[in-house]
Amino acid sequence: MARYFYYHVLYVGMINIMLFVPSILEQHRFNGAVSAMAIAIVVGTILAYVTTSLFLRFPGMGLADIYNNLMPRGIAVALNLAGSVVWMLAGILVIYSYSATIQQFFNPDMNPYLFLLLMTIAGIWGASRCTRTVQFAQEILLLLCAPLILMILLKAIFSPWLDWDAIRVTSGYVRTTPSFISFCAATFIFAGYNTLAVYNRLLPKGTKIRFRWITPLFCTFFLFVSFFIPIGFHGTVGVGEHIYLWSETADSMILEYGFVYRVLYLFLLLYTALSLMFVMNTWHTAMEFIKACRPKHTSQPEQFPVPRANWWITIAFAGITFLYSLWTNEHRNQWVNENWLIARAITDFVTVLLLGWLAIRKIRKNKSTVQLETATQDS
Amino acid sequence: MRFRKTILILVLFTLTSTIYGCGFKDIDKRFFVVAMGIDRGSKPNTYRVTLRLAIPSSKIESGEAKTEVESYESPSIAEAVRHLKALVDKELDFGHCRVILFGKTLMETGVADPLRWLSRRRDIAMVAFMGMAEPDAFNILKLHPQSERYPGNALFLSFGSEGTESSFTLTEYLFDWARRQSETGKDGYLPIIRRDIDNNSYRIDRVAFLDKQKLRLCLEPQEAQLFNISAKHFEKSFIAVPYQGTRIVLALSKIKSHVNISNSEAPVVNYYIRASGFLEDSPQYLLEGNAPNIENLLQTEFNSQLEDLLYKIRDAGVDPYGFGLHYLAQYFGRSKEWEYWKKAYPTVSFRVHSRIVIDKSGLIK
Repeated sequence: MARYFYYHVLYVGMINIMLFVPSILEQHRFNGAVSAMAIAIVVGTILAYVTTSLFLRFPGMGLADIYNNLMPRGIAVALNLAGSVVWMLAGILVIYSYSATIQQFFNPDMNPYLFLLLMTIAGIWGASRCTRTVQFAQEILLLLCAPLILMILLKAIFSPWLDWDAIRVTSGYVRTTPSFISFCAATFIFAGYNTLAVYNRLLPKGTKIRFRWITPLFCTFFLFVSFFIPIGFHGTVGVGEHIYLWSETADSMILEYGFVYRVLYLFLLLYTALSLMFVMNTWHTAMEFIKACRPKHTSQPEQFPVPRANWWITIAFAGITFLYSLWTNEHRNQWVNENWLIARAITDFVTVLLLGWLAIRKIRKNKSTVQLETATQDS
Repeated sequence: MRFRKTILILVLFTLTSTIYGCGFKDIDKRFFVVAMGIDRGSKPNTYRVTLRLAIPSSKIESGEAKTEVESYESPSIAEAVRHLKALVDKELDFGHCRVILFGKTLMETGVADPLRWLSRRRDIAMVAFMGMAEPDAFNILKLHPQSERYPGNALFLSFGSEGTESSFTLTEYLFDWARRQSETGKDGYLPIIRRDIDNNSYRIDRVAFLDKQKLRLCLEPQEAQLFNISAKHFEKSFIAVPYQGTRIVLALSKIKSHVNISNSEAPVVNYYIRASGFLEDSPQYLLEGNAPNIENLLQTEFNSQLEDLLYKIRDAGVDPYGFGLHYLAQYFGRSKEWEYWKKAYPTVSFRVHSRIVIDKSGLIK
């Protein structure tokens, strides 16, 4: 079922706009973003390939199950809790950024918590479903909005108002030393493979994920588009002035014969679906991590009706979202986003190392049991 | 089951408690601003903001479109707009503001502050058309052309490719103008909007160039068209040359160009342009046998016209073509190259290499 895997890769590549990835890259455009992006493409591709290969060695097991089975209990619980925090924060940050954007562009007089409430309710409902349902909902949502998003992106690329000189000037800064935060931000675009942390449970033994070259291809495309298109529309200098960078970029295009004149509204509508999809996935994953902390937990990717714990955990996430929005403001939110991107990159590396170590141990164990068996047969 | 009911009641309760009244105002309680003008005020350091408001009506007929023009003077644009709210009975809505005009006197003193206000407002579309009004924006916005079917649409239709497509009219969007105002090696331009002599329509056939601060050069219609052809690749334009007492007019249908800048002591800008089109006006049987000669004639004429224009723009100290940016792009340059280019630009020389192809002579020979 390789296609479900690629849906995740696709939407994570597209949601980067809501997580300040382009903004962070643009801030460092003259001091290290371009070179960091070049490195991130290589590292991201390798990470994606290695992580998926490692997950396929543990068929039917999520990351939490792997920890629980192969590691001491205390460490497994700690790792699961850490994972749930990182995943939950991803959803919260996207919900908050998106509702702030909506409030800014649709109606500034609106009560900001109203939209947050609507988004979190949808998030609660979506995330509390069982893993299989979430995966199917994912497919429907992505098939609905991906063509239109692709249309907007292609419209931007082929726009005569796109300034290729500005893009070329910026790309010349590939000779600068890369900056760490830009590197962390750029690797996020490749992070779609991480959703295997839960969805690996749905992959039966012997599954092969084919066409893995798609991941670097699509992700590099999204990385370049989300970095260079705003530069082409706002200039090498002007691009640093915008807070809602991509909304402004979408606003610089016209649907001349369409029923909506400003592309902005279509763009925001599409990102509603994408944000909900992202929240549904991240909260679902975080929820599964927390559930895996219980002793004697067994994973059940398909169950109906869903256990009550699902509801309570996701409602708690919604509560935390509200607390976050009370505490945060534009600057704090950006600070949290940057640190979250760094934390995410680090956990990514740690996960790969842990998984690699566990996989090697598993192979050795299998070998020794095989040797033991042959030895007993010999005697 | 009970659990689900509790959840449902909880959700409904929280939902209803947040609904305290909608932030939205009805469409009949809103005034849609269709065009906005910013002039210099009568006192120093003040702005005069003029808004053209659409009055919705059920009758859609030419000349029946009703608009209201309100104007206010204030030390800042933001204050002026807030004051203007006191002069009307409905909420102002800038969501449909598609034309923003600056008065000529304002352009002469600088437009950094108005730009900041425009970029900061979320409801000003980045795709609003920009223009320079001569003599001032108030006079242009007060004009009420008979051809208007919707409030303000005579002005919208002049720009873009929705209504008339004239090669003398340049189109500039807010986002492009804003980026040119801050970009290294590229300067802004604005179409000049005047009243027609009969005071019944607009006349948009000139273009103004400004550097990062203020107005530097205004072009005549013929030059404005040449700029439109060469910089914007505007395809519905024409080239005309005198020929043995009559004139040859070539209507263009396809334009391509690229620029190459040599990296020598005194940089040379090589401007390659390739245009093809068909004859709209020419003596009879002109093309038979001597098409290459005619093409040569057009090319030399076009080369010299464009070179003259490029030198004129260079001498005014502006760079609307973005040669500076292109220089940086071509050599992946940074601040050192930029300093060099700034010094070299006043002495840079231009060479236009045009290739003009006559596709056909129309329906007759």
